[in-house]
Formats: sequence, structure tokens, C-alpha cells
Amino acid sequence: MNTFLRTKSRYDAILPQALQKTTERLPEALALLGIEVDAASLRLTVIDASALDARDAKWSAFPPNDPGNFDWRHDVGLRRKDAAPFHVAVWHGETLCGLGLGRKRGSRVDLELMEGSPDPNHPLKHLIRFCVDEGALTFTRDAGAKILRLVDPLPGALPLYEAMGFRVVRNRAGDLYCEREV
Amino acid sequence: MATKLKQTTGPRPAAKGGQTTGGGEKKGLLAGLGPAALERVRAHMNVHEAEGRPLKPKTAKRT
Repeated sequence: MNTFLRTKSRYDAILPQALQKTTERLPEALALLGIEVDAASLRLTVIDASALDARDAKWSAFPPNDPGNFDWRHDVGLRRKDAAPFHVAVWHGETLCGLGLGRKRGSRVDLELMEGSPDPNHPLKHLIRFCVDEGALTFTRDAGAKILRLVDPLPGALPLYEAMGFRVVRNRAGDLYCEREV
Repeated sequence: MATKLKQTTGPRPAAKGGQTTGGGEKKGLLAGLGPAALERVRAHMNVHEAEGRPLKPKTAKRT
């Protein structure tokens, strides 16, 4: 097995464990905000074929998010070829409520995409960003990285990220991101 | 007069990357936030839930 495959195999093993840990921790974390969720229904998994199928079949029944409506099948397919991809599906029972995608780059994990279900009444409305970020935070730590970076955050979400301990950065090229040491 | 010790080239103290396993499990995003910060989080949760940078196809080649 070459070095790339060994590395990929290692991170592909770390990711589901990190998401399982996050699943167990999330109800307690949300309780800090006074939010109660059904712990038995909430789960974070990797984005597999069933998640992509659920996205295509169920989300298309609603007007698409704007911004949003990302090509998840394409982007997840590309990222899966990376050595250390991060991908998460947020479920409530059998309902796919959100998706997140990124990758580890050196000592940093970049969270590149995040989207909640366009169903305005999905059971985890307004909690997807938090669930995805918590999953990314756990993966960042478990993968041995030091920094979690949120790429191209929504300007309207910056106060939320700052409240959660991220710093807002705009680099010389004008790119906007949020970063937090883990 | 005290002899100044030479710095040796022994093993480096801590490995870069990799979380230490001692000291218990680290907490999540909200750990350590006070009531005011938690209130700020609550106040800003109602934000559109889609963001980021879609990936570019890798097939494009520079000419």
C-alpha cells in the first residue's frame, strides 16, 4: 500500500469515529442553548450513497436554497479522492436535514460547504450549522490538526461564529473565512 | 563560576500535530462560554443555512 492510500485509510477510519463521538455529545451541547433534541433520532454519518440519494430525492421537493442548492454529488465525489476528506450528513431519524464538506490540509481542516435541507419545517431547522461545525471540530482534533477554518462563511452568520469563538479573517486576496484553534 | 550547559540535540519535546490523550476529553464549540456568549449564539442562530465555496472541477487545465 502506498503512502497516499495509507494516509487515506487512516483518515477514513478517523472520520466516522469522530462523527459518532459528536452524535453522542450534541444533545448535551444543544442543551446549553436551551434546545432539546431527541437524542435517539439525531445522528451524524459520513456522506454515503444513501445520503446523496436522500438529498436528490427529498430536497428537490422544495424550492432550492439561495444561496445553496450545491452539487453535492459532484463535490463529495471530488473530495473523496483527497487523502483526508471531511464529509458529514446530519440526520433526524430517516430525514436528511443537512450536509457538510471539507478536508484536512496540513495542520488545518477547511470546512468548505454546508447546507441545510430546503424543507422549511425539517426537524433540525437552525441547528445544522451547529451540528456540522461540531462534527468538523471533533474531526479536526482527532485528525491531529490545530485549526478549524470555515471557508466563505455567510456574512450574516459572522456574529454567530464570533460568539462561538471563531475569529473573522479577510486575507489579501479578499477571501473571507473564520478560524478557530481547537 | 557556573558552567554554562551546552544545549544538546536530544529528542524534541512534543510531537507536532496529534492531540494528547491525557487530561480527559475536550469539549465542543460552546464549552466555556458564559451566559452572555450563549445568549449571543442563541440570538444569531436564525440564519440561512447554506454557505461555503463549491468546488471547481479538476478537469480544467491551464494553458
